[in-house]
Amino acid sequence: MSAPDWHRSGAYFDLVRSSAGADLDSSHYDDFLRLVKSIRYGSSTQLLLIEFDDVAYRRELIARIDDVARDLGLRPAQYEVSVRIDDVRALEDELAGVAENHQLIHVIGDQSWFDDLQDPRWEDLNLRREAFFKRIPVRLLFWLTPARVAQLARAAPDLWAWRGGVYDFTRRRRTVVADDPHQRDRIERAAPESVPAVGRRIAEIRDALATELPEELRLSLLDEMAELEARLGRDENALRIRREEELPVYERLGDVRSAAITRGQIADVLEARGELDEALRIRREEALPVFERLGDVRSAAVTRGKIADVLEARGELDEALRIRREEELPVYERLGDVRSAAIAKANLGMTLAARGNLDEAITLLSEAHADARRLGLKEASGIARLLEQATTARVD
Amino acid sequence: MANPPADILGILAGLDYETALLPDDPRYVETSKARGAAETPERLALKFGLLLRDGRFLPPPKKHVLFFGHVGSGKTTELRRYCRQLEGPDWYLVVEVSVHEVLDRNNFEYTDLLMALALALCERLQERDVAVPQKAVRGLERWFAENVKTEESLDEFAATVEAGAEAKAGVPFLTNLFVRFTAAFKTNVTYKDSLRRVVRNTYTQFASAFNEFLRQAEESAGKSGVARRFLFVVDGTDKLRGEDRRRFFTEDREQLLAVEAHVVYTAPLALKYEGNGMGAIDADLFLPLVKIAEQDGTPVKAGRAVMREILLRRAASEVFDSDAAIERLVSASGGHPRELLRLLKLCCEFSDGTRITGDVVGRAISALASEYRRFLEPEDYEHLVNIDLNPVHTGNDERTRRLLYNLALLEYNDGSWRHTHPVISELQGYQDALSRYRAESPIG
Repeated sequence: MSAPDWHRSGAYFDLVRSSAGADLDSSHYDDFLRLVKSIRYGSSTQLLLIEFDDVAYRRELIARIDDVARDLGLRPAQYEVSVRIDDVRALEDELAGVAENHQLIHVIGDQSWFDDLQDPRWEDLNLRREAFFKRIPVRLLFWLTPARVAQLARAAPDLWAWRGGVYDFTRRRRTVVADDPHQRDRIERAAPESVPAVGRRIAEIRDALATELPEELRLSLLDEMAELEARLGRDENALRIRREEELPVYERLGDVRSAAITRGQIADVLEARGELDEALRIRREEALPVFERLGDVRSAAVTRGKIADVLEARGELDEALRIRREEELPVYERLGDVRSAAIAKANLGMTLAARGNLDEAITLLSEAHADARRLGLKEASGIARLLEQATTARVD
Repeated sequence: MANPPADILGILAGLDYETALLPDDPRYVETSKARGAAETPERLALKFGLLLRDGRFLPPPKKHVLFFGHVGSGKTTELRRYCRQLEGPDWYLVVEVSVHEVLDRNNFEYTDLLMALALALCERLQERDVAVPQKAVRGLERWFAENVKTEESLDEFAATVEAGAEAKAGVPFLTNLFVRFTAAFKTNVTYKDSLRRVVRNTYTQFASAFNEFLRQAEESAGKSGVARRFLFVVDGTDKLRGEDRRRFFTEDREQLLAVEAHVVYTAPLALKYEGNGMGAIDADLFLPLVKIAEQDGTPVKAGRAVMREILLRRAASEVFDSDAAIERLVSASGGHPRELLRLLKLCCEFSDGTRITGDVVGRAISALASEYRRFLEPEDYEHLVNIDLNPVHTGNDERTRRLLYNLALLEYNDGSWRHTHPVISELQGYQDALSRYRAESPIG
């Protein structure tokens, strides 16, 4: 790919926008990507409503957006609706002048009528919608506080109906995200790397995948991308990569072990989405038999442990307990895999605790905790919390 | 028909849903039947004296008709298409009048409209080479000479008109006159108010002269085989809100009706339910949304097929990873074409650049719902739930009209049935209100 082609490519754009939004608050990352995508590929005449609640942060965002815009060959400008702008006609005249040499205009107006949606001039803007955008055929970014956006929808419904999008860059949003269990889960799944970094890495991988690569490296990158997509909670993307891009290649190559691992990874995603029956079926019918046939006892034990996880989630505690006790832990002990054995003991302890066998659970969790600390495993603190909970439960 | 784009970025680039489609646009989809408005073109034609089924033409002396519809529901597009069916040498010459340029808060009145009609007609006559005899414009020239030229504060304006007209006479003179009037109304120059005052004070004389001009111009158009009558299609009046709307359509309606012409205006849905008498203005033509489900939730195949078609003329089917993704978008649109395109745009923004998956559709729906959440008030959810569960007793109070205007509430059939926008019913506020309603309702 030649340099000019590369700069016009979607992969390059993905890289640019991901980099520009890289260290933004993760809850703003998606909106930033959406916004710059709309600026780049959407209509050249758009009304984009940007919610903000922090002037300094707005300044920072405008700088980032402008960087991307310049990279795309668009000339950005900023226009402040000052108190001297009497009416919408005057605003039109001013913006039409700016639009002659710019393709993107940020419109801000703290302390002026623009900041006061009770002002009847907004009705004028509503009425003059068509004329306004005919004279100012650019991407207009209206920076408004959340309350103002709500008022705009009420006071100027026709203008609102023409919005190209609403993008939320409020600090308020962070709290909301933290309080949303689904979102919180997503963020945690993305740890330890930040969401922006994951997004950036995905863009890099996509870029690389667009070029000629040895199959082994391509598969490795696809595997990483699927894992990153799953971390971001984009399960559909992860599943698509696993099912449509990785699995067919392994099957074509006759690599049954890698195919079985991929099927296990598909089951992981399904399990995370709550599709337990299908996850269980894949592990029992498509993954485990392959590892058994290949004599891969460790992978078979891992798969059995995951089958136990699903059974436990479905409330089938006895069968889960049997598998962990008879088919998983002994394998790791026999192999001398102390790390896996420590984790398996902890899992077994949790299952016992769930069944109410607290004494045995505490014994196993204590052993697992001691092993984990000795081995310096990062899971040690998690096991300590489980041990504490089980001990408290026994006292109660 | 050109193939729709098969890549996300191409789709996004083609999504300029602010522009009304022309009737021959390849993206246009016939929606009349699916809207339950198959008879609307015939009804519109009939109001203007044309029987489409056999071509008989019996136009009334004048007719002013309102065409209602939701914001962004396709009023302009549909009206253009309907009116095109009324066009022909033996019927009408359609004169499109966009008042967007002259619309202004507290500033748009019947005088502005009349000038816009006159200007649009003059331009259309010149465009179709209709020669209007000199005598046809004498009334308007006289009105100008007796009222504008004699007004001291308009000396300069009158001189400009005459200088611009130079040796022109007839329609070119009128075109020049109305161009200058419209420009004066648009730009806030000193004699704007004086001009308005002159037109208002001499309105009867002006309307009479204009009507005379219209009659003679129609006669000329008939002789030259262009059309027998003129049909003005006024777009933009649906943006008028509150006081402006009331003044224009209600208080000043007699002035509108003084124009002996055939005019159809786009009108906001809220006006239909404000309870203000429209008098002799015909106000029962309504463009419903595409019905994708019956009141009891049963899917309406024809409506869903039309919405699919609208979507698939903007985006190739292979972009969607499943048919379910397409169907979910159709359901979430509520049968509102622009809302469907808005959802498609959101899908393009959320997609990773290759396909629109079920997950992407889910995120787009959540994002659109969140846009509604921004302006809905807690009481709105109670109100919407009440309407959804008691569709017969909805009423037309101010809150209902506002929700209709903001598309939180969508109207189907002839307006007899309303339902909450589907994306809103996914919001927590709606679900909470629904739970409260059910908890408080008597069992059975």
